[in-house]
Amino acid sequence: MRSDFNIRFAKTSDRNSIMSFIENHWSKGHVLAHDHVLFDFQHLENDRLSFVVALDSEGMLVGVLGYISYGYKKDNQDIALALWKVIPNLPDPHLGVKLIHFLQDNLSARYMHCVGVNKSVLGIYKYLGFKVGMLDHFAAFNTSCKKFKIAVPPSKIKATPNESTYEFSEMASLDASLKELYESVFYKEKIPYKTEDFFIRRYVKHPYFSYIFHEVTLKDVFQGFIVSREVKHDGGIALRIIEVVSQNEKITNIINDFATILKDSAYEYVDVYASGLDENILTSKGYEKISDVADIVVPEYFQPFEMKNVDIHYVTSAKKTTILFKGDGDQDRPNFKKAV
Amino acid sequence: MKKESIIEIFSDILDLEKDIINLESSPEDIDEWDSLANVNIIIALEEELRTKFKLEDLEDIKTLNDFIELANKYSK
Repeated sequence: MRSDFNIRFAKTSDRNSIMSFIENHWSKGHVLAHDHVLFDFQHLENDRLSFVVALDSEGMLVGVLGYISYGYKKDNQDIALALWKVIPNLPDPHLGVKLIHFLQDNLSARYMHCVGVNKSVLGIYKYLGFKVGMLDHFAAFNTSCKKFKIAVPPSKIKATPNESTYEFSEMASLDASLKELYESVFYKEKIPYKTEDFFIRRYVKHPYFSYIFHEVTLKDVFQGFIVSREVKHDGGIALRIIEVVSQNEKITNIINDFATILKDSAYEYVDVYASGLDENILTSKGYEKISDVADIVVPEYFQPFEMKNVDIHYVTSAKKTTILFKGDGDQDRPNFKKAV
Repeated sequence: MKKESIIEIFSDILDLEKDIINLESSPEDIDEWDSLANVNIIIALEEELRTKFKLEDLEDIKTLNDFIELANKYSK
């Protein structure tokens, strides 16, 4: 095999090749190898796909780097990296890194990050100057729940706050919250910054998941919003916070207060994966920090269901404080092809 | 930097016996030489030489001998 490779952005005509590549070289049965609807939802950007591809001299696909643009019509945008794979035994051992460099050089990206990074490639990201870490996983359990069917709670469940400083209003759509968001001063400096188009597409037009939106106010003043999603198993139901959009300094307290939603609800627990939260505040009140070694289990996988805790690693090129959630990147998606 | 030291780093990172590698060894014939291993070799050489390789110098690495030439270039 010759060692000169053509690296370029993917065209829509590359879709089938990329999906086959995912099936053959990444993971057999992977949802993105089979589900065209989800694939296009995540990676179709007008006339191209949000993938960088490497082809050998015969035009065969030998490497892919997927990404998700937080505003593909915008310059200087923030992006999330997704699936990254180069086939083994190529004559160029640096090809994988070249895919990242191509993206850095050719997309006017401000910051790049990735949530759900395979532990084995953290070293490469570190070498490339990314900050690497692990999302913290917190959960607040419902003291009124008689039988837990999804999670294994602690032997003594902490009482969640009865009163909340912030007010939460469930909204039928994101429209009003987004209008307030882009008029706010704090969001202009936010990392990662996401456009209105992105939020609408990501959460309102998701082909499979239904998200719940809560607008957050303090004395009737807009503070941001929370995106969450119900998860169910064996007759049990819980609420996962997918993303909180607010000032970084307020997010921990907002999440802390949001546990009041458990009162009079059928939810077993409310949980959140995020970086940069204040652990002391959360654990001193209603939340537990979940880890692999603890007796508490709050599952991550529901399709199929797996009763185990899961670590989620992240990387970011941003040097400033960045709060990343499970909803950043491509982690919050169906795992398997939806049955037809 | 001595050629033997580079071979030592190379065999350590790839977890290979020295007698099964040669100067023309390449990722095409060594399964263990993947992207991660490649970065680890680069990091180890950079630490040893107390330098930072330029990207354009890394782009043409195809064999063990290329690494030796790269190290020699930065040793000068």
